[in-house]
Amino acid sequence: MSPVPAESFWDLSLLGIFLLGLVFLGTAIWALSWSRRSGQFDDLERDSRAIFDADEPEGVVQDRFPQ
Amino acid sequence: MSSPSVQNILNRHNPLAEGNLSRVAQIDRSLRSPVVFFTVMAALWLVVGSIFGVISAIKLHVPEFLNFEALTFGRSRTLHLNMVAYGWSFNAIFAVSIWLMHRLSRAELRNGWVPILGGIGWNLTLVYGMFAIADGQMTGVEWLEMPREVAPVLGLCFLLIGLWSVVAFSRRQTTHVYVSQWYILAAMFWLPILYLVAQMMILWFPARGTVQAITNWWFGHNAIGLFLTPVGVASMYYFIPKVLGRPIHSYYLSVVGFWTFALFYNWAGIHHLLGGPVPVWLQSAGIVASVMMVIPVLVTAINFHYTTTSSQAWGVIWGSPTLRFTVFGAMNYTLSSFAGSLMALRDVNAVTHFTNFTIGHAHHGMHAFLTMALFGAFYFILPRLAQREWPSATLIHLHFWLCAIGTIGYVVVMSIHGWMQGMQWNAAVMTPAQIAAAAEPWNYARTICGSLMTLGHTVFCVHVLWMLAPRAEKRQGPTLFAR
Repeated sequence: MSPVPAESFWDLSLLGIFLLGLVFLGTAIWALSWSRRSGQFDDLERDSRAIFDADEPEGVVQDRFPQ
Repeated sequence: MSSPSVQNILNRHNPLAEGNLSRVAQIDRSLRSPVVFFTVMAALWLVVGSIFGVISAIKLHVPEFLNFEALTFGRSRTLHLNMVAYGWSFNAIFAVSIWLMHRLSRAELRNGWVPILGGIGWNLTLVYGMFAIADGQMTGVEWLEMPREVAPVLGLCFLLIGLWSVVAFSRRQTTHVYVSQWYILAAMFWLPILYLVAQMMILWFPARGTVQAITNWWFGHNAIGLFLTPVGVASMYYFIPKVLGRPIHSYYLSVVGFWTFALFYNWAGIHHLLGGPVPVWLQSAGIVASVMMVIPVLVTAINFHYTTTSSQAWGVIWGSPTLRFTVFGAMNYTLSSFAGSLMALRDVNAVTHFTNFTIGHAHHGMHAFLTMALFGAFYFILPRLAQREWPSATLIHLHFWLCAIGTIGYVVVMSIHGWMQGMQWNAAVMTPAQIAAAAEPWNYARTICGSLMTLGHTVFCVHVLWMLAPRAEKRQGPTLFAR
């Protein structure tokens, strides 16, 4: 096999990986920006209680060994 | 449940009681089939994979043990890794992530047959892959040993399964995205890219030279770091505050932890190649990222520590199957991650590389942290899905102690011996034969610890099947109805 096509192939591959990296970075920046815009960081004290609800409320232990 | 008043209390607090289906119960009911399916598959793979681990451990001190071609050390050890990684961990993560994402999104699962279909395809493909490995048709690339033809099928199945977490998120009934959701979403986004790039650059269109090795360890480390670990951490961020009934100590720190985790972890894998024929700048980048991982690990450790200790709730933690396992996993997440950062330093790595220290570290992360955290999640999830209490408190105790003693013993034995091995090799005073002979008592200890873990896994698997058996008694009790 001629080395020229192989090198061209790998040049293209590296370009593809570089672009994929940019997509990753862009996605992370978009996600962070969306978080700020949608108020995800506005009231962290309130948001920490998002796991509780009327069925499994705060202040109530939810699990014990069976008897 | 002898007195009517107690029964009434149980019914009032039982979201699954007749005529009292709450929102949570509706969500749980919609999740039952896929989550139970993945849990059972995970438990079965765990037992079989652990047995192969013990077989390969025994072969280190009794080489003629099960002396068949399909069970040489190279194959049995590879079967162990692939079964516990793709069989146990992935199935367990599918179960936990689907349940967590729907619970946190307050969304019912629709078209549950799709992830089940993906799960059936995933597990059948794994069975094919395992037989291929046993038959000697492995690729020789760690973490990607199954023949390359399994990759498109596994990829498609993963999309069918992983997509459902994304669908649940898109149908969420809540405005806030809890930190566990961030971790799960990120994991479902990261893994397909990692797998695609690794498959392409190593098996389908092989890169030349050390680029293959770099890609291999970028994938191998990130399969743990960017898929298994985030879901494990997501699980701990949910179950510790949930079971204690108090919010996480600092939600701000949990957010900082997620974003720093996302920033640093994917660079770290190259520390597997320190000292190898890899550009030094790349090795240095891997070392820096590994050390920077101290930040997300430290904030997570602070959060879990203060959440558990500030409530003075040691009795609650010890008295809860979920928390006993989850907190054990959280403590070992901290310890194994700090150890990983230290092992990435050049001077330390010069001793630990190629020794049992690395194998001990791998089990510290995959078992003492991840597996124990996943066990904790199952102790919470399954009673709510099966509408049954765990049949036996004794089996839960037995499961915990066998796994806890086994895994800590394994890590201690392998770490001490690994360090000794590294020092012996570097000193170049003993011959390789003498160094191998000196390993014998440690290899026996390794087998004993591995056997304890395997026994614990068997207890867990039997307990799960007992609980789900059609004729099992529909008991009610405090795991379900702690209130």
